[in-house]
Amino acid sequence: MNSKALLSAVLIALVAAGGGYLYARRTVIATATAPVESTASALSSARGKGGGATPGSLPEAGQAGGHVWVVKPEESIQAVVEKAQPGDTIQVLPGTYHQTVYIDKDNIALVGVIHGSDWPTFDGEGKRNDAVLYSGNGVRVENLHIVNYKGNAIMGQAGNNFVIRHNRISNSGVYGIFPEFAQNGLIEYNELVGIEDAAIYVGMCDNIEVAHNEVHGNVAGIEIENSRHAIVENNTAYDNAGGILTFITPGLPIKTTFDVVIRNNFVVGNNHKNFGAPGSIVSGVPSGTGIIVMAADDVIIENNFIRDNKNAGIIVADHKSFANITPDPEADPNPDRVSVLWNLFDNNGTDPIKEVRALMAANLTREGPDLVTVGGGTGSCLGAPGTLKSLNVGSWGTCARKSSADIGSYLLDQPAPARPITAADRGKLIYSSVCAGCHAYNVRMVGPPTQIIQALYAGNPQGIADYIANPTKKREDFPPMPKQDHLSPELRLAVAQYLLTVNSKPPATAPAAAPSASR
Amino acid sequence: MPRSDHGPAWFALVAFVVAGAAPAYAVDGKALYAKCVACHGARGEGVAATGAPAIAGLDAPYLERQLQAFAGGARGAKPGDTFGATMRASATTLLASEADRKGVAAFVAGMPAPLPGTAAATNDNGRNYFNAICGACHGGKGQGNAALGAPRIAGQSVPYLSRQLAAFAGGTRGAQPADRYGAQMRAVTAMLPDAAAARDVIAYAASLRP
Repeated sequence: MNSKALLSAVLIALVAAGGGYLYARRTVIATATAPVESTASALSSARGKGGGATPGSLPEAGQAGGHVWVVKPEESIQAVVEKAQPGDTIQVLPGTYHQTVYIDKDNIALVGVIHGSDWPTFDGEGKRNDAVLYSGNGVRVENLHIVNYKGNAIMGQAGNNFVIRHNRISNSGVYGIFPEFAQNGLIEYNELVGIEDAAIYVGMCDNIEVAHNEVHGNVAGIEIENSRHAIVENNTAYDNAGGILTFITPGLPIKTTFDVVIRNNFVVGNNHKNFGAPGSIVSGVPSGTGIIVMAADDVIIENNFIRDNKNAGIIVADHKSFANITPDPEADPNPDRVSVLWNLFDNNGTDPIKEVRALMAANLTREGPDLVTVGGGTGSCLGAPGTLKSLNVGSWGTCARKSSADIGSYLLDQPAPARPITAADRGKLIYSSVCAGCHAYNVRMVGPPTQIIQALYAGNPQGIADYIANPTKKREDFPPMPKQDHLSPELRLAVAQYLLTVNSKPPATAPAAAPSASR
Repeated sequence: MPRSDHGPAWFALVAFVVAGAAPAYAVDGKALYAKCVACHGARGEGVAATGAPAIAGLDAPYLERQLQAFAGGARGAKPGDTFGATMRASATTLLASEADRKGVAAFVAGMPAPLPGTAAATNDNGRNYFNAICGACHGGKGQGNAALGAPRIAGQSVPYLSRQLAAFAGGTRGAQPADRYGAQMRAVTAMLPDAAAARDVIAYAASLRP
């Protein structure tokens, strides 16, 4: 058998395996019908190696033994949340709900009941901001169909030990599933489409598992940002502008991203037009990119099927090389110790962006890359050189590590403790867990940068507190600011006061001089 | 409903409202603007030789604020501000009353925005800082945002933008205690880390075409 025939055989085997995976997934989902308290047991049997059963640190059915509430369409889910006690389960029957639910209690499960093909549908009708917000610990959100929200479908605000499973989300705003500032959480078996930024956005979290999700038609499929100890595995990311991203975004309260494993994913045909808000960081994601590592450290990319991404299979970039990024003196701008182990690459880089073309020209090649690096960084390595078209990886060595099999899971054995909240630091906690999802200090993520807000509201925290309770649209080329009226007036003022002090230091020097002085 | 059936009536209504509103100032903005032409150009397009910026189509509240600031001495009264002094003299002598200044501001705001000149060379650094700092108020294309008090800066000349940035940085402009927008500009100007960032962001703003 010559090498070409061997490759074909491998390809056929892989495609067959992929088809089998998809078939298994659909079968499992089809069997996950109601009434069920959790689809965990049905779904976990389909999980591959490296996943395994959900650890006991996460909330699953029965473990709390609480009351089961049942909500029908036309009833208020929020009213039930108000009555529920920690440990309770709220079952949502099929039908349509025009609601926003905010869960500020611990150990609440919000679980949809699926009858055949009938799901409970949360419809934001293009006017509500969020379908589900939670700030409690041990929250589980499962089996919901969420459409047409403007902000987020499911957002966690400093809620640890969460499970977000088996939700179908479409056209629901800036982020689809967005745990912010959390520790120990599982995001699995969700399908997300049509999200304007990252469909699954893990922001400033630790100990996260993102598995078996299907993300397509979004600007970014899955993003692990300013987060540590995360595994992204067995997902399917296709038809996004960028498939799977791991970033250090400058200007956020957490300054690092490390220990991220991206393995066993299908990353295919991520060539969607980038429809992110102009000028935002995500709008700088070049369409046609499978995986992007920006400034993140200790990333392992292994055994992914990376195909048909027209710009490049994988980009490893520093802050300087990425559009709309300005430096953060407290964040290391370089991606260090990135290990690209064996992956299956095919037909990437057929139509690269001009920066990649320039690198190709400089390296005297006309072949678009499976892997390209731009900018600084040290200690990165290839696990299987010769199996991929790489560009500008001259400084990369050969990996000592052969696989990531020794890394089973980063989820914790014991629940992460709740974050302590004191009167002194609650403003900071809310800033980190709510505001920083869209407002970085010195760059434009989604909303105006914090430093701009500081300039506009200097000495006027009450102005911010009033605005966030009832925002009006002020900027035509920014998404509308979601209401934060789930926070009490007192908390709104506390976070506003904190926001005005973020990064505040005495000016180091006189204000920057413009090149030609006033004449 | 077919728009053409109702177009004339709709237009007449608007014309009536505009005509009805105009006498509020009881001044002829168009006639007054003749005094501005020598420096700002017949179409308000700005004239490099005089250092006068493009003003046509800037939002009326901004224009009015600036004219009042020049007239009142908040702008153009600091030593060394030659261009400002020229404008201050014009705002006080050529436009004798507050009503005149309002009237001419309304007229200039209604002029079509100038056609773009030649774009300056730009780079990524300028784009990045523009998007990180300026775009939040002046708009992603520098189109301006009257609700935030931010004028259009797209297409302004590099020398003019450079002078204004330096004026904000040094306190020649925007340092009066009551000048909220000026204080905001002074604060954000300090966010540009170095002269290269200032130069690049100015080139980028000058290159924008709203």
